[in-house]
Amino acid sequence: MSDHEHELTRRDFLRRAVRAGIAVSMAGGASYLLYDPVGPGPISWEEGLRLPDFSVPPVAGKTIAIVKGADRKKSLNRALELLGGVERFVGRGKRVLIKPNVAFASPPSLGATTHPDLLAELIRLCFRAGAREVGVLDNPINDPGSCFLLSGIERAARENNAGLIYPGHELFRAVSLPGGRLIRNWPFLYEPLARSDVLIGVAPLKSHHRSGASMTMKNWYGLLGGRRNIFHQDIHTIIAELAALVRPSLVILDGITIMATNGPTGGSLADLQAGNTLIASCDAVAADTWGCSLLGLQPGDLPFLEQARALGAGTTDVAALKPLVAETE
Amino acid sequence: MNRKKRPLYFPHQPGRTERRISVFILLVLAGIAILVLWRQSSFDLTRYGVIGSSAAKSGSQSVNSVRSSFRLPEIRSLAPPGYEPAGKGERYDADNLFEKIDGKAPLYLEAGFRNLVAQRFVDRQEEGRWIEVLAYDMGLVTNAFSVYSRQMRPDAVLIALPDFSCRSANALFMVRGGIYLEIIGSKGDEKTRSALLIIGRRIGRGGGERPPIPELTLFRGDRLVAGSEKLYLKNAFGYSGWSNVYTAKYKSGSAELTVYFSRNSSAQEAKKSADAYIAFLKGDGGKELPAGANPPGLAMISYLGSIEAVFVINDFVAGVHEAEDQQRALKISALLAENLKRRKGDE
Repeated sequence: MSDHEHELTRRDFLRRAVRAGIAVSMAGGASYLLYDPVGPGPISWEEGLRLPDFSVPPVAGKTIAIVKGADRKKSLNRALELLGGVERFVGRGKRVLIKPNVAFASPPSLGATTHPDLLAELIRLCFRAGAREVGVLDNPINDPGSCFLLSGIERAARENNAGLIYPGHELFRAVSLPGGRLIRNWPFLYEPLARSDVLIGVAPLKSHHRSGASMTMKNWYGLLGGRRNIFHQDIHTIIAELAALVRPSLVILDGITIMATNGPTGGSLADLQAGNTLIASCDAVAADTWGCSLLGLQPGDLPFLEQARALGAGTTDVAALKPLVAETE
Repeated sequence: MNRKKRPLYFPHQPGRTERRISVFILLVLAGIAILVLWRQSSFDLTRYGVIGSSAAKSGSQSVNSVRSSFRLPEIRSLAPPGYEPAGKGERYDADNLFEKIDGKAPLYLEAGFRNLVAQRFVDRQEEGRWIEVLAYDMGLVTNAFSVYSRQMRPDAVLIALPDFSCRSANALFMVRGGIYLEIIGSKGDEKTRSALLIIGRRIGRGGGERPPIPELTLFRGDRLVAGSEKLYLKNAFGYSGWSNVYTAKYKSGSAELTVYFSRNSSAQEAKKSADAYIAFLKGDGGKELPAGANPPGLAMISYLGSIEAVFVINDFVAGVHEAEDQQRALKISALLAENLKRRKGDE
């Protein structure tokens, strides 16, 4: 025999055969375990993350307040007074989370973001009611640092001892809306909500190139992560599903200055009109239904309203809620 | 001890056939891996509802398209006196334009958007006073004009900067070559407007020698409402068959009428286009009205409470949209027809 040959003994053969057999079995076994002849099925909702329900117990006749006036501070105070006082929503020792619209790096004067004066007053009211802590968060479309700074939101939060929550990766978790078509295992700014007791949305009233209007329901878009722009193709459904997913304690729709054209970014002072109206509501669908009239729209012009109603997110029959209407000086 | 017994992991040297088969299998596996990587790197975003860079191919691509040789100056050099650039500036393409302008992105993407360059300038002396320049490269003058004209604010003030420009209290909007510009100030006062004009003049330098879009000269006469011209690249008046349609407003007594025209590749195509629109209106409940003979072939349709006038002059389809008064529509149609005939004679 040459140097490259050797005798294959029975022992060698058996060893090789066993090793080969083990390797084949492992490969085959792994394939069998990984094989899925059926394919992905519907997600089991019981396994998915659920958002806390922040809604407050309903009080008949105190669901929605509409205040006319040009002063944000006065209008906010009057609206909350009509609904039973801020204490109805913010209890002593509670952790409050406020979600303004800080989507763009735009100054308050251009109306594309929540006005910092309104946010500042709301923070003060929360602390006056005994809140343990107040956080402000959003996942802006532009760079978060620029957005919070240029919109004046950062200053409003800092000067009133509220914490500003930047949308770090670690705060997002996959969330699903049971029965939802779009919000299925989608990254969501979950962690701050999970740690809070009260959730308040504060949104400016704007026209929107895609959806027709951007109000309190559209405001929750800023809690989505990932490549959320793909939802623009089905904008009405995503707004409706967000309304069904997020159950806030209160929403505030700022129609004191309205972006009547070229929303959601605007850019020109000529896009703005005086609306002189502020709406505070426990029902975001009702708030937006009433609010669209300030843009000269009918509820039927905004499909997401009816879709949200159909999902059980609220009512479009504002009259049935007996809205409380007042005026400030 | 059998010295010839070797460890099991040195069984034997593979033969030639064995080597060839092994190399072949490895090449096949490598080919599969390369194929998978290649396919994964070029997936079609549109399947997921995201408009990808293919959007750059949209916009006007017809007889109406107008190109320009204009190149925007380096954006950081546009800082007006007393201002300095804030940060490096931003750049966006069709895939991430939404990260800057969110829901307005489709307006640009559908009009041939290529890229956006944005730069903010801050006032060195005054905190909170800044100007942001957004330069949208739309590829063609016609594309840029379309987005400019469709976003014209009702109270915009026209200013004499090439190629098209207007301002509001805090912003300047311009078309220069294939670039649409929004120059936005954080404050709406005279100081801001002066700075905006300085930037606008720098951008407009060297322009204005000839009409950037020759078709717009077809809208003329003292009844034309200055600055009312628009270009719809698609779906003009909500009709999917109307592309590259120019519109403008004309005064008629106390009313303003919207007139329009679109240039086709031939007179036959223009006739086909007009007939299709008339059929669409009639199919949707429109009723034909008696029309005069000027211009020849004029059709007038009563549609949804207003009047649509449609006619063909050479390779143009033209008419009046949503007129309230038939007589006024007739007069303006005749006026527009004269302008269009004269254009053909000029050529």
